[in-house]
Amino acid sequence: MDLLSLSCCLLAIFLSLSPALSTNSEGNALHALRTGLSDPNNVLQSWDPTLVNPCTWFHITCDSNNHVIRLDLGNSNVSGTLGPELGQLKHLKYLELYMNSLSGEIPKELGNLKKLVSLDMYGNKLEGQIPKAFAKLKSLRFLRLNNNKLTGTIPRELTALSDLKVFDVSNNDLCGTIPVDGPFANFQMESFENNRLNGPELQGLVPYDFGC
Amino acid sequence: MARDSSLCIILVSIYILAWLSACDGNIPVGNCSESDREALIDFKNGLQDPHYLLSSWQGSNCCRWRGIGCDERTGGITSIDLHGDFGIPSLVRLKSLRFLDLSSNNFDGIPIPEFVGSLENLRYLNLSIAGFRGTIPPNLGNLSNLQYLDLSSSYSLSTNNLGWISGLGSLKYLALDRVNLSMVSSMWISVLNWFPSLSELHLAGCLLSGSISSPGLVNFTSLAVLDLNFNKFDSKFPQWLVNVSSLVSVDMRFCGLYGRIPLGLGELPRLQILILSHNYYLSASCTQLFQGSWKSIEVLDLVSNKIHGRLPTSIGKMTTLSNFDLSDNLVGGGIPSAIGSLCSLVNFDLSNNNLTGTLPEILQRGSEICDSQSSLPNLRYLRLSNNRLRGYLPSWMGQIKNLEDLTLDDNFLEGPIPSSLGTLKNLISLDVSFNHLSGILSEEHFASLRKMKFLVLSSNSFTLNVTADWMPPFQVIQLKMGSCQIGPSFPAWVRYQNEIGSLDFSNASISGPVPSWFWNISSDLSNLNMSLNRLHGQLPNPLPVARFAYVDLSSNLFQGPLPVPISIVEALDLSNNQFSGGIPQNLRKFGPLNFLSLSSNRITGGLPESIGEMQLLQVINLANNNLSGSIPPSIGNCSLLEVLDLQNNSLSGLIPASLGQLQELQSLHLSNNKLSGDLPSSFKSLSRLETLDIGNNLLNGTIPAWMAEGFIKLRILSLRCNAFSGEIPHQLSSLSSLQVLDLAENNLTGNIPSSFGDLKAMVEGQSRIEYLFYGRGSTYYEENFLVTTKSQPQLYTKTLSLVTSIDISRNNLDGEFPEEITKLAGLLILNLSRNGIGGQIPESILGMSQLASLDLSSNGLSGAIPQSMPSLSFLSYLNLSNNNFSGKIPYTQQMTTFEASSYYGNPGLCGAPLNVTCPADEPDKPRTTEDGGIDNEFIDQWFYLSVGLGYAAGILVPAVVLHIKSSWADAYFDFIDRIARSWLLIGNRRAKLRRNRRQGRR
Repeated sequence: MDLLSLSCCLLAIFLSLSPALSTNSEGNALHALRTGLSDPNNVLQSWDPTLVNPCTWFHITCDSNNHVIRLDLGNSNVSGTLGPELGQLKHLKYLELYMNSLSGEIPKELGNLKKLVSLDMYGNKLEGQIPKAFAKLKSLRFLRLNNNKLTGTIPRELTALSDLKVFDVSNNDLCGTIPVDGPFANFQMESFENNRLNGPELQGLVPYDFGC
Repeated sequence: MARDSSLCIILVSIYILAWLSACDGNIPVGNCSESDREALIDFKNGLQDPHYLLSSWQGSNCCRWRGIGCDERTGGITSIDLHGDFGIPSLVRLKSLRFLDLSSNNFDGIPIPEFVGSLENLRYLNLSIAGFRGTIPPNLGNLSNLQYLDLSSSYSLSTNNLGWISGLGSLKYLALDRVNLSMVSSMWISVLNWFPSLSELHLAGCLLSGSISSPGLVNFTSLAVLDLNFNKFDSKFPQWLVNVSSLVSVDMRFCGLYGRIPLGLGELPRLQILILSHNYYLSASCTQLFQGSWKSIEVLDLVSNKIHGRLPTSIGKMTTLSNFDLSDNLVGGGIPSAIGSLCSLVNFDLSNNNLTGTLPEILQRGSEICDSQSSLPNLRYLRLSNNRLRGYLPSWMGQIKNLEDLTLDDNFLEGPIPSSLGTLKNLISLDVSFNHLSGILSEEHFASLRKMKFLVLSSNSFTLNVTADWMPPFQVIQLKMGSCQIGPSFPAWVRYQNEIGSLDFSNASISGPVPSWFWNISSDLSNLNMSLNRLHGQLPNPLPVARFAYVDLSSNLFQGPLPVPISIVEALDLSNNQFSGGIPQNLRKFGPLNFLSLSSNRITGGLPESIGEMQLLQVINLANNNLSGSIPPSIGNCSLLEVLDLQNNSLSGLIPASLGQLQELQSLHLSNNKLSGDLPSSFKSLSRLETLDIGNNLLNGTIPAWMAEGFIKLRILSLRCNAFSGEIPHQLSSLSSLQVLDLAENNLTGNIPSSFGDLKAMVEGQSRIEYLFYGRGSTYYEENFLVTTKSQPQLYTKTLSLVTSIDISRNNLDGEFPEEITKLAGLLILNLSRNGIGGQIPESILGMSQLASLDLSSNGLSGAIPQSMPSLSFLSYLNLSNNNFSGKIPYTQQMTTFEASSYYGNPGLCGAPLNVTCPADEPDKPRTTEDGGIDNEFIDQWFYLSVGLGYAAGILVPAVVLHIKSSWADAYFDFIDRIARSWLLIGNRRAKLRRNRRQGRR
C-alpha cells in the first residue's frame, strides 16, 4: 500500500515537473505580457490563465510538446510596454509584434530566446537601445526594428549573428557607424536610412560610436 | 383574523400617537348617547364574531366598550379602533367619529364603503391592508379635518385621479402604498404640493410612471418623509427636492431615476436617510457628492447606481453615518484613512466597484465628537469584495472589535492574513477567497473566532499549519478552503465540525484515504467538494451524504466499485478517478439526480436501461471509459437532458432514434465509439442542439439537408472520420450559429458549396467570449471539443466560443476553390487539404483577416500565390504544398515567417524561402533569399572546394620542392598555367548546364 502511494506520489511529481511545468511558466510569461498591454480590439481575450497551457490561446502556436514557438500579434492595435517575462519563452522561434503602438525599451531578456528565427518589432514606438544581448540569438535570420524611436549605436556584437539574412533599423534615431563585419557585409543601405548614422565603419580610423 | 401581528403592533403604536395628537380627551369616560349605542349594537349584529372579541359590548354605557372612545363632554363616540380584529361596520350614524382604524382586516374584496366619506369629523383614517378592492370613493375628499390617511393596499385599490385629495386641507400624513395610481395625471406632485402641513408622503409601489414633474413653486414646508420606492418612473432626479429643507428621509429605490444626484442633497440639514438604490442610470461623482455637509446623515444607500470617482478624505466628517452602502457602482481609487473617524459606522459596503490601490495602512483615530479613541468602534460589516484592491491586509482589521462580517473576496490582495484577525471574537463570517493571499495559517489565526460560521479562504495560496490534535474554537456551517494547502494527510480537526453543511477542500494537496469518521461528521453536509486531491482507497458503499447533496470527488485516485449515495443526491461528480466495474443496474437509487459525471474512469459493461428512469437528469457524462454494448433507447425518457457525453468508449449499434425526443438537448458527444448506421431523422426536432459531435464512428449515409432547418442553434458539427458520402448540402449555410464545421475524413464528393460564404457566425467572428457551461449550481459540464488547427489537435474548453473553423480535409471533393469562402472574415481555421480542388486562391483572401491556420495542401490548385497574403498578420500556419502553384512567392511581412516546407511539391514556384531563383531576379543576386534548400548546392560546393583544395595542394607541394631546386621552376609554372586555363573552361560549362536545367523545370 505504502509502496503504491509512494509510487503514485513520485508519478505525480514527475508528471508535474516535466512538460506541464515549463508550459505553465510560458503561460505565466504570456499572461504577464497581456497585463502590460492595452488591447482595444480584444485580440487577447482568449488568453485565459486558468487553462492548463497557453496552446489554445489565439495568436499563440505550440509545438507537439506544448511549447510556445510562435507569437503572432502583428497589426493588432495593442499598446503598452514589454516586460522581461518574454525572455522565458525559451522555445520561441517567431516573435511578430510589428505595426502596433508598443512603447518603452526592448527587454534585454529577449536575448535568452536562443531558438528565435524572426524578431519583428517594426512600426512601433520603442525607445532606448538595441540590446547587446541580441548577439546571443544565434538562430536569428530576421531582425526588423525599423520605424521606431530607438537610440544609441548598432551593437557591434550583432556581427556575430552569422545566420542573419534580413536586418532593418531604418527610421530610428540611431547614431555611430554601420558595422561591416559578418552578415553586415551583405545588408543594403536602405536598412540603415533615416538615422543619425555616419556611414560604414572604418575600422581603426573612426570609433564606432562616432557622433553619438 | 389578525394576519400580521407585527403590523398590528405598529398600528397600535401609530394609534397611540394619533390618539395623543388628534383625539382630544377621549381617555376619560363619559356616557354615550342611546342612538350611538343602538348604532353600535346594529353594527355588532352585522358581524360574525367567532372569537367573542366584542363580548364587552353590552350594557348601557358604550363608552366603556372595547375599542370605543367618547368625547368627555358630549359623550359622542369619537373613535372606534377595531384594527386587526373586526369585520365590516355600518357606522354611518357615528357623525362625531374622529378616529377610525380598520387596518389589517380582511374585508374580502369589497369596495371602501361610501359612508366613510360622510364621517366629517374624522381626523384619523386607517384602512390599510384591510382587503378592500376597487376604486377609492372620491367622496373621501369631503373629510376636510383629516390629518392622517392610510389607504395602503395589496395592489387591490386604485384611483383614476387625485382630485379628491385636494379637499383634505389638513393632511399631515398620506400613505397610498401599492394603490394603483397608473391612471393619474403626471401632475400628481402638484396636487400634493398644496398641503403645507404634509409631513409624510408614502406612495411606494403605486405604478407611477413617466417623469416626476416639478411642482413649480415648492410649497412642501413640512415634508419630512418621502417614500416613492418601487415605481416605474423614467425620470431625471427631481432637482426641486433640494429646496425642501424639512426632509428627514427620502426613499426612492427602484424608481427608474436617471441623471445626476444633486449635490444640494448634502446640504439638507435634517436629512438622515437617503435611499436611492437600484436606479441603474443615476450618477454622481463620489468626490463631489461627499464634499457636502451631510450634517445629520445616518443611512446612505446608493446601491446599483452609477456612482464614480474616488472617496474624498472629507468623508471622515460624516460622523453620524451608520450605514454606508455603495455596492455595485463604479467607485474608483482607494479607501481614505479618514473612514477611521466614522465612529457611528455600522455597515461599510463598497463591493463590486473599481477600487484600486491598497487598503490604508493606518486608520484615522475616532473623532472627539463621538468620544471614541479607537477607530470604527461600531463597525460590524465591512464588505469590499470584487474590486481591484492590491497590497497587504492592514493590521487595524484585527482591532475592529465588533466586526461580524469581513468580506474581501475577488481582489488582488497579497501577503499573509494578520494573526490579529484571530482575536475578533464577534466575527461570524470571513471571506477572503479569490485573492493572491499567501502564508501560513496557524492556530493563532483562529484563536478567538468562537462565533465563526462562514469561513471562506478558497483560491489563495495559504498553507494550513496546525497541530494534529487542534480543536478549532468554532463550529462552522460553511468551510471553503479550496486551493489551500491542507494536506498531506486528511485534516483531523474537521472531525469536530458537526454543523457543517458546505465543505470545500478542493485542490488542497490532501493524500491518502478519507477516514471513515468523516462520513458521519454532520448530517447536514449537503455540499461536498474534495476534487483535485490525491485521495485514494475505496469509498463507503452506500456513500453517506445528506439528502439533495452536491458531491464532487472528481480528480482523485479513488478505486473500487462506484458507490451509490445513501440518500437521494442532486449532483454526483466522480470523474477522473480509477473507479472500475459496471454502472449499478438500478439507478433509481440515485434519486432526483440532475448531474451525473463518471467520466475518465475504468468503468466497463453496458449502460443500464434504468438510466431512463432518472428523469431529472440534465447532464450525463460517461466519457472516457470502457463502456460497451449499445446506447439504451430509454435515455430518450430523460426529458430534461441538456448534455449527453458518451465519447471515447466502445459503444456499438445504432444511434437510438429516441434521442430525438430530448427537446432540451444542447450538447451531444458520441464520438470515438463504434456506432453504425445513419443519423436518425428524428434528430430533426432537436431544436436546441448546440453541439453535435459524432466523429470517429462507423456511420454512413448522406449528410441530411434537414440539419439546416432542425439545428437552428448548432455551433459545432463534427461528422469527422466516418463513412458519410454524397455531396455537402448547400443548405448548411443557413446554420447561422455554426462556428465549427468538421467533415474531414469521409467519402464526400462534389463541390464545396459556394453558399458557405454566408455562414453568419464565421463571417462575423466571435467577438465576445462566452462560457459554454451546462447544468446548474457548483457542478456543471464544461463544453469541450478537439479542434485540429495548425496540423495538431487541440482541446478547446473555455475559449471554445471564440473558435471558428472549417475542416473538410481528406474527402473526394473537386471543383474550383470557392471564392465565396473568402467572405468568412471571422474564420480562424481553414483546412481543405487532400481533396481534388482546383482553381486559384483569390486575392480576396485578404478579407480573411483573422485566419490563423490555412491548409490547402495536396489539391490541384494553381496560379500565383496572392500578393495580398503577406498582410494576413495573424496567419501562423500555412501549408500550400503538393499543388500546382506557380510564380514568385510573395515573401514579405507575415509570409517571411513560413519556411520552404509550406511550399514543397509545387514545381512552378520560385523565390525565397525556396532555393529556386525566379527568372526575372537572376542577374540580381537575391539579398533576402534564405538558403532553404542547401542540399541542391551541396554537391556543387563540395566539387569546387575539392577542386580548390586539390589545386592548392598541387601548386604548393611542387612549390616547396621547386624552392629547393629553382631550375625546375619555370618549366613547372608554365605547365600549371596551361592546366588552369583548361579547368576554367570546364567550370563555365557546368554553370551553363545548371541554368538550363532550372529553366526546363519551370
